[in-house]
Amino acid sequence: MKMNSTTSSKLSTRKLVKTLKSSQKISELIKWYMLKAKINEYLPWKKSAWITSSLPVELLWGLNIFPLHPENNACISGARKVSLDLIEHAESLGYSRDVCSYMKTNVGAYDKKISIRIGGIAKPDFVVTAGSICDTHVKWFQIQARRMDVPIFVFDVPHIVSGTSKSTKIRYKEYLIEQIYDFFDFVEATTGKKLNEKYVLKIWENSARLSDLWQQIYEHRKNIPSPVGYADTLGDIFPLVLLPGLKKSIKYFEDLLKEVEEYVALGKGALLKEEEKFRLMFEGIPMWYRIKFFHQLMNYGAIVTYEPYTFSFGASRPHVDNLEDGVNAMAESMLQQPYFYNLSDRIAYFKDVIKKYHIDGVLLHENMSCRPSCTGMYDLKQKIQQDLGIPVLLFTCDMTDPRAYGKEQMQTRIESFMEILEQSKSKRLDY
Amino acid sequence: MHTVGIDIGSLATKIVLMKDGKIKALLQNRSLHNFTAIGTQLFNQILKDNNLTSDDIGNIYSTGYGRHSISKLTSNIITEISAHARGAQYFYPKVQGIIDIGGQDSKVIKLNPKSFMVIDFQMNDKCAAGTGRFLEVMADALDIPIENLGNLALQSKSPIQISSTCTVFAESEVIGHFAQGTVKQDIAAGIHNSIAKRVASMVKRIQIVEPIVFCGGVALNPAVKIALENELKLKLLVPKYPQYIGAIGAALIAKERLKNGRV
Repeated sequence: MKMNSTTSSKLSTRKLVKTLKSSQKISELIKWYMLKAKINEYLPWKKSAWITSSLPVELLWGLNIFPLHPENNACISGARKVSLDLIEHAESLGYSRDVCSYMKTNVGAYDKKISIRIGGIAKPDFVVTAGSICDTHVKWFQIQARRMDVPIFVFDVPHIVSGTSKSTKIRYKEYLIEQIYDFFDFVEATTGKKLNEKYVLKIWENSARLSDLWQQIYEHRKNIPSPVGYADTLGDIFPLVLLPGLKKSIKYFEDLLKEVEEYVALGKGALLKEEEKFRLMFEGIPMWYRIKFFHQLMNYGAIVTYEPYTFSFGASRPHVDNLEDGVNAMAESMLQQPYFYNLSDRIAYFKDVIKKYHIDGVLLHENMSCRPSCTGMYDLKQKIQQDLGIPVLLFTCDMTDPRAYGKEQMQTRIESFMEILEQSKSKRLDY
Repeated sequence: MHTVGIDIGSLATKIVLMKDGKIKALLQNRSLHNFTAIGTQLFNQILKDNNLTSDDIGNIYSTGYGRHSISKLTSNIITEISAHARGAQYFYPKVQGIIDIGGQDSKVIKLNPKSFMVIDFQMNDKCAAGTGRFLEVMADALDIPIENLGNLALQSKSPIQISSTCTVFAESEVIGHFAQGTVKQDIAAGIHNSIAKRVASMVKRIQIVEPIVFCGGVALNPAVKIALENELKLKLLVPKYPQYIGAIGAALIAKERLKNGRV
């Protein structure tokens, strides 16, 4: 009796293909960005800055400062499979195994002067950071600013938690608005660049449009079969992270949306309708060195159709027509980060998504590098299982440190999870 | 009708022959480096010992770390989680939780109290602490056969505490205690308490309740059972062939699926 080929090692057999044709064009956008970054590096009158996630990159564009993004470049190093070498370099300098792998990848990438194509990053004119979604962001940029001898600006972003009163929230926002104006002064003093009000309004307008498009794409992910999975969206967020105010980003998302709409109209999905067995939600940053994991999930008939991580980059932005409203909107966006959510808000958020996106199971990536995203995951898992009766798999890995990924162990976990999902399809599980 | 379950673990391979859902024969051997060879060899041997040919076998399921390596022989695979759950039910039909400690992994499985289906599981992560390998390394450090480690621990009056969860550092601690003249019994007891604490944290994470079956090769060691019971403050049931539970489960699932027309 021969083994059925569909039951062989499914985590090692699937072609790595993007679902959508338009998603494949992301490489053109990335190449354009890299070329600009390279040109910028050689022209002394061009200025650049390192920025972290959670800060509005639109401000840099409005100030005519070219944004460089260490986290984004660390993802590229991970996907290009060079991050381990960079991490080991940082560890040889004394950074511990427990320090964030994005930070160590950045330290290695900068010191070793690797090509931008594999995640290299140039020395900026200044760095700007905040401790809002990640405490390491502050220390990381402080250390790198000192090592590179460049100025640093740190936004002090208060956290909104349960019980934060309305009046306190207003004070928080006013506090941030003051800091944004301080930042304009800092940039002018550091680089001589002033805010171009007309240009920043255009950037904000484009950025709002880009977020609208992203949310429309997400709306379509509620469909069965889902037209787009994480294997696509993990690359699609690039324009939201770095190029939110640019026309070419809008064009990219418009093409993406058009193709998604065509898929939905035809009843097509990333998987065929009869193939789509399990709809999953994935919490956390992906394992960038193992992107094929998300393609290979599809071998089990599983599609990831919602990720809080990718959704958060395209949170709703108001359309503004004056500087004051725009700064106000930036302050609000800095205060509204999903990573701020306390457990009860996070659980409510998950429950809402699970219902609206017809989710059958949840994957929680306990990312060894990221305390903010992992703390509370066991409570989240238990609450979802008990209240909704759907299975949750929590697994420990890392976003750019491949040493944290055990191939065989992951395979056993995923296969076992699929066996549980199979039985939960016919019957709600009682936890 | 005969079915076979083969559990290819990282350290040992176990095979079970069942007839109409009852155990007919059991065999095991070290897995060594060639999963395909050991799986095939044990299969041929169990057939020969029982005067059967492969045509007499209705369905063959593999499970365990090397479950994908004998695809030419088997009809299908099943994960260790499902196999252990089904195997434990063979001995204790109302089991609600399973603790399996094997050579290089340990797992905790939670079953639904009404449907008795697997609803959750927890496995150790890329670390030998809390596995059979941990005990092997420690027995080696104490220079005693692994079979004697459990009974030695049971003679202790004052167990030492091992603070490191890392197998390599724990080994250094053991050697340090040995050098200071601590008696082997107390060190052995400390080693068992250490593994129990590690596994107990996994149990608590998914909150399994009694009746709980303790299986895997390590369940043959009485001191681990006692240490775990003390740590968890509940009773564990050790089935007759604890190391064969995965293989028994695979053979049972093979039978049930065959009955339902599936390979």
